[in-house]
Amino acid sequence: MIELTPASPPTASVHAGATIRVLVVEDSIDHQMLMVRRLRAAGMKVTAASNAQDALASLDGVDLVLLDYRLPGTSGIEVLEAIQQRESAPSVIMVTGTGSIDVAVDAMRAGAIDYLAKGAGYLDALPEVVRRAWRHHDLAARATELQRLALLVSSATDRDELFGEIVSGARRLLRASSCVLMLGRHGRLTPVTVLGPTPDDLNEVLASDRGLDAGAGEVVAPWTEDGRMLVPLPRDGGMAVGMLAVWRRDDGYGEGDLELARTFASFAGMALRNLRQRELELQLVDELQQTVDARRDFIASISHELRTPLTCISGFAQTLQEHSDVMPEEQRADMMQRIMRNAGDLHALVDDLIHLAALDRGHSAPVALRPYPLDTLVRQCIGDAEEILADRVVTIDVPHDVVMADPVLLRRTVGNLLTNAVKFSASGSRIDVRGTIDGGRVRVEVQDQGIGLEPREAARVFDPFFRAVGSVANAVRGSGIGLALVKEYVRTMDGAVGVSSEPGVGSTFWFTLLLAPTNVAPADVVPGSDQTQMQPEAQAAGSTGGFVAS
Amino acid sequence: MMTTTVPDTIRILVAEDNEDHLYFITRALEGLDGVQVEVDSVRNGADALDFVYRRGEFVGRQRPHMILLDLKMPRVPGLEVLSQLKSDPELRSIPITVLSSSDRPEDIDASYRNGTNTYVVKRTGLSEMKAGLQAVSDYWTDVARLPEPPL
Repeated sequence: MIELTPASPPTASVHAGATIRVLVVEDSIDHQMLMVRRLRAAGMKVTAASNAQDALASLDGVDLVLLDYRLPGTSGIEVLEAIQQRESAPSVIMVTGTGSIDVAVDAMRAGAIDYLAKGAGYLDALPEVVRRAWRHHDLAARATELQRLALLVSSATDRDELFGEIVSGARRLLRASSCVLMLGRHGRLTPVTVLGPTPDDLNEVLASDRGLDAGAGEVVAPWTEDGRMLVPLPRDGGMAVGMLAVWRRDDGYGEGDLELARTFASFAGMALRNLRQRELELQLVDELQQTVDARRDFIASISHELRTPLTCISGFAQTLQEHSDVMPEEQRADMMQRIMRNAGDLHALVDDLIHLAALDRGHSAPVALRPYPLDTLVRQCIGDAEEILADRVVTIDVPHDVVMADPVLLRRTVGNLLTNAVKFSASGSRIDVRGTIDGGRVRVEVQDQGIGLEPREAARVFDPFFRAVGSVANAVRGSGIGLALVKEYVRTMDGAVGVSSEPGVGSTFWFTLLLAPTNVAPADVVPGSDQTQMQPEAQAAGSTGGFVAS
Repeated sequence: MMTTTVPDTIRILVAEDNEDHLYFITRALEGLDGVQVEVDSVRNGADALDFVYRRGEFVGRQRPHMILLDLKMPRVPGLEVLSQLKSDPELRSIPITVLSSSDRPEDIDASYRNGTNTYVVKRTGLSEMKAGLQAVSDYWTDVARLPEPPL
């Protein structure tokens, strides 16, 4: 909540009370006295000056100037022009002794709001002339206030600034002592900006729910109660509910004030809505920028990941080309093996990229899930990964239950998780593969004793670009898209993925699969192949048909 | 006039997680002309720091005359190793050569900002790796003078 110190109003004439402050500029002391008396008798606050210099020095806090046309050493027109150069110029009524039309035209052209001849009975007319001129001026000032807000509608970029403008605008416009802007948060009104002394009955206003149940687009008219005016802000375009509360120092509110408040509220509502729109746009731009950045980092990172095995392959090949004749056989064999391993890495990476590209385009073919015995599938996946698991201790504890899966996707899923576990753990450490039944699902875990993840890393580890971004600082060899693929594969099989991890202790990656209905007979898994054969019973029992695994 | 003697054997610490790269680097260092090197290697940034600080499994090891440092390493990234060593008043005299396969300006700039003495892009193949490291070694042992490693 922001407390604003009441700023001095931009125009001297829009003030909190109803008393009009008048400056009488008249060189004839008799006339001056008579005019001052009449105006004071009409309840106005009056000061006087006898020459141009004094007049220009006494303008502060003045709403209206009664300016004699003939002043010693100068003309009233010159003084009028000097007054109008002031920043918050009061309105001027020109007063002459002659009543000449020419003078009147000159004065009005120069910017006077009215003209008064010192003819017979002019003193009697004086208070009414001044009042009328004041109303004119006041109207102009209010129009300026509305105009200011109208400008804000299209230009405000800062929340707090706009809130401040709304309350100070309302306060000047409605001549309020205090003004509070409240917005609905979590179903109740909360003051966001207070201008002027905090009213004693503010809590009462906050507790009230009148006018807050308006539907979108509906405009609730302002109303007055207990000396305060409540102005609901229109709520369309996803705007939160809002209310402006206005307290007045002295007299009550007229019909005109309520009308003014309604106009003001529609402007304020529009300004808030536009600001909200602008904020949403900026947020969108920010999100897009993040995606662009992530992709750029991803490309930089993936280039590195592609280059690493490639440089190794060409490096070893070149070395063999240059030195193989003088190399011991065993060193040659070692280099060949290194070339093969790097080629394998490169192959796996390119495969991952192709899968990722397919997923990104939304071209991953829909799969029909089939019932398979979980342990057979998992053991086969582990068998496929035998080479990378060679120096790890692998335990398998998986139930025999039949799960709904796609063998190809499951193999890639488990393969990626195992590769991941190997990458981040030490040679000789344990990798535990477990399956547990939970409700209608089975949860498969791959637990390593590796370096683990920081919580903030764990939160993003399945993000397609995360590892790539993180790998700039913390990479172990690999594409960094394996886990993103795992998430997609498992999602395709109607499962979920997750990880729990502790830095320095290890990570447990898990995914879930649906258990097959108990009356469904499992399909056969063809060992060592990505092809699956469909059994007639399985097809009859619950398949959705048309499935060709590839 | 004070003179410093060129050490007979230069101890070089290689911090490199990719075993194939390490293979090339080690072979290249061992075949350098005009200088005897003793190569120690670590496979991640945390071990690199432990080695230089002579703690953990590296208690009692002699500090290296110079360090070849990869940027992309597990546990503690190369830049972090660089910035820690170069902000340590005692250890910052050890010359560090960042040896990376990246030639991205961001990586090069960041390495120098974090205090590397030089940045060398890894080359492909034993002969090229050797040529590159020979130039680095010639510079530090022939053209320039190495400081004594802090005790």
